[in-house]
Amino acid sequence: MNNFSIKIVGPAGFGIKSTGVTLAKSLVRSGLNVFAYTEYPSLIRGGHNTYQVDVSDSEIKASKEKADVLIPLNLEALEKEKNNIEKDGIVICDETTKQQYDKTTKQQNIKIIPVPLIEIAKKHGGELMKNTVALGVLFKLLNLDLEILNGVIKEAFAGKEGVAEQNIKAVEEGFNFKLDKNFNEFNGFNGFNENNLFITGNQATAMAVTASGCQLYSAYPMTPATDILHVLEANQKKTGMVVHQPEDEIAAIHTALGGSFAGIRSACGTSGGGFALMNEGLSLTGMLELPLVIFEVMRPGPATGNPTWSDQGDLSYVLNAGHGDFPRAVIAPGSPEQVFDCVQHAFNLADKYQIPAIVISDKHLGESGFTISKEVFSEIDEKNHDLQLKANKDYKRYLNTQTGISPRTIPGIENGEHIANSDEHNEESFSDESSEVRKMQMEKRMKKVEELRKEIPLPKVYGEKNAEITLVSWGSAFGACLDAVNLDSNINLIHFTHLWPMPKGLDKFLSQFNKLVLVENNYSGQLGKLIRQETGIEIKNKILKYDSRPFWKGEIINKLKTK
Amino acid sequence: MNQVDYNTSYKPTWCPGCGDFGIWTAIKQALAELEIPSHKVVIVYGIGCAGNMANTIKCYAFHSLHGRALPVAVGAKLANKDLTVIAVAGDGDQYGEGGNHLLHTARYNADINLIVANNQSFSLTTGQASPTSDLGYVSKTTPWGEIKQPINPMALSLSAGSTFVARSLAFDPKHLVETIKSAISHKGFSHVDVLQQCVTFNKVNTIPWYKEHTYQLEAGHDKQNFEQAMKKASEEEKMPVGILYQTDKPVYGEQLRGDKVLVGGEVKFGEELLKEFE
Repeated sequence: MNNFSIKIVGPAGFGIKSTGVTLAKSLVRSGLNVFAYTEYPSLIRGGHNTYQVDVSDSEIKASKEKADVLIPLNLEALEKEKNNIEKDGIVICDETTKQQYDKTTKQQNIKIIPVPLIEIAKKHGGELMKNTVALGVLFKLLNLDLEILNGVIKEAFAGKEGVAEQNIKAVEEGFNFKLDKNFNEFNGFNGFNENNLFITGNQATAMAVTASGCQLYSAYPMTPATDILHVLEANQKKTGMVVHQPEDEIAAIHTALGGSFAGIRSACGTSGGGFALMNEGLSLTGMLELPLVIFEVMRPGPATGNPTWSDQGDLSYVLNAGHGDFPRAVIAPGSPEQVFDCVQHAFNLADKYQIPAIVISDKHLGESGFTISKEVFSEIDEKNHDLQLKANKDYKRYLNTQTGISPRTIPGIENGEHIANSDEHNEESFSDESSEVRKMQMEKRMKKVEELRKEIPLPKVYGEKNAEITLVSWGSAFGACLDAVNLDSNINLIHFTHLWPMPKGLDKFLSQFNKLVLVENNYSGQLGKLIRQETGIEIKNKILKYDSRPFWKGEIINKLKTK
Repeated sequence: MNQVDYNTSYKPTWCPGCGDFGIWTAIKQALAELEIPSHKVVIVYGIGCAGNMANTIKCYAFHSLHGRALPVAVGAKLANKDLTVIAVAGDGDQYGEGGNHLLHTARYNADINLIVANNQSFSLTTGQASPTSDLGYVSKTTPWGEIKQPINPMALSLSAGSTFVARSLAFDPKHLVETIKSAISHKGFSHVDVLQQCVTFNKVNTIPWYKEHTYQLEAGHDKQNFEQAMKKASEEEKMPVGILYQTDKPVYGEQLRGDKVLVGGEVKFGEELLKEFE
């Protein structure tokens, strides 16, 4: 079965997101796979918000550009979306909305099903409940089990039983409303799933941070990274993590560094503009050789850009940020499964090599809703803390070693005293400006890049090994690329999750493929530039999308036809 | 314990006669008298002449960036409440670049101790005017005299919510040691502004000048009276030296993690956390 998309639209403040999440969860519990994509402007009230739930009984990774069912919550919303409806799609809206639409618009080629949503809603508690009535109508249309929807509603209003009851009555009346259209795709589908979760990339990140044993998370609010902070804050009492909201992003990274210096796993999170403020702290982390994980959830830049939209335009920046040469790791998950794996890996690499590890993602991954098996969250890696818990009088914090990694003591350990020194320093950690010491310490630190490189895997290949066309992607473009691979056996995909250092043998690996096509959500093809820098290979075919929207289902295949 | 127990093998690089010698000795003396072993002390330094003290006190030192001592100190104390955490920075560093951090760390009431080496000059960068330079101060960046009003660090600290605000002198070892001991013993954020001479660049605010423009707070001063403290802090012609204000308020770290030492501890992850995604 193909994707079937349901899109709820309207002004901010109309409960679009909560309705969308309720719908998505109900569909997941009904045994279906969903992918939810939301758009919203940088406002608190008004504007045009959308929440689209794509459904399928098979794996689903990307949103359709158009909706099969559109649920506009007022006339303006319908006007804005009238060209985004599939050929055989339908619109479910209030009777008054249809009346207004018929009066003001000449476009008559869309099928509108008017329902007295507001009238029914008012009977059960108020106009705001019209969303819930619409969900009832939708469930009838799709022949789904109403009890599952009711279950989700009861949980959403736990503690407010009265409101839950009202919503359930509203849903029921919507469900019982007589319609003349039926969608057959869901006929006889009696699924129930207890094993799948509906989770966003940011929520998965918060889970991964917790599973990694991070004890201090500090972040300043910035869209689209803030949800990580919210989830960790809400769970503090259960997890025992210390979550700190500082005065600015500069304090965020320095406080996390203080925690790391004292011996606990620490992390900070932000978006591009906040990361810009963290740059000197990043340079400091590299010089002090302390472990630190930094989350950069990208949005379109430069400057304030489009705060509530998505793109992949900070890769080149993150790879090169911070003055001076120093080692770092850059890891880019592209799905919640990859998030859970990559984040744990980031913490382990940071600890082992005493480096900053930057986990880079974006709004599309962070705020879209994915269907994922609960099992993913039981794959917890062993943690390597790599601390020197005993020291003698000869202890040297920045001892030159074969691997470049020096044994690290933490405050409280006798004889382990040293200076975490932002000045260039000798092995004993004292400030030192001599030429030999400078050369030695620089080489020591940079040796760690080569050691780390040995552990970096080659990117995974998805699809037929000998496909004609090979897409090359990173981060959230994964979903749409994988979708293209599933639709067309002439296409396969190389997907990078580890971007720095790049693995050994990458040049040989890439030359196995027939025709490489770079797929990125940025203007300058930043992964392409990195590959060329590291291997000499220039990927001439590029599909670059930088309009702040994700790749839609089918879009990559369409664009390939024109190449 | 003796203050020489806190010496490292590194010789200080300050100019002969620098006020930092006095501050350095007093910090070591205070730690010795309080009998805090060096491996339980974290001192976070900013950048400047005072920051170069990082090489000369045996402890777990963190030589941070310019203006960035306080947030690091907050993180270290959150991780391990059993550490004595001190931040040392110059006036340019803490009251200039680090101004925002002072403002907020004070209102958090984080249990750390800030000592500012205040010589009213950016000395390590060769003598520019700083946020505490007097009006009319002539320097490389103010050749016709400073036209910007100096900030009042004591008043600023008080209004930001510091629960221990004091002023001392780099050249009065007895007073400085006692003040630092009181600051370290205080539970909550303590701020000690130490007026010091810069023999190389500041020819105005010398030791004789400070002696003339300061006075010891009277014995009867009520440390717990905020209005009194503000009044004293606002005296800029002849500055009061001593503990201006001291009170008790809930401490940041305690409220976040109780009396748990996070180091060596764990964070709980389980199915329970996934329930909201079902």
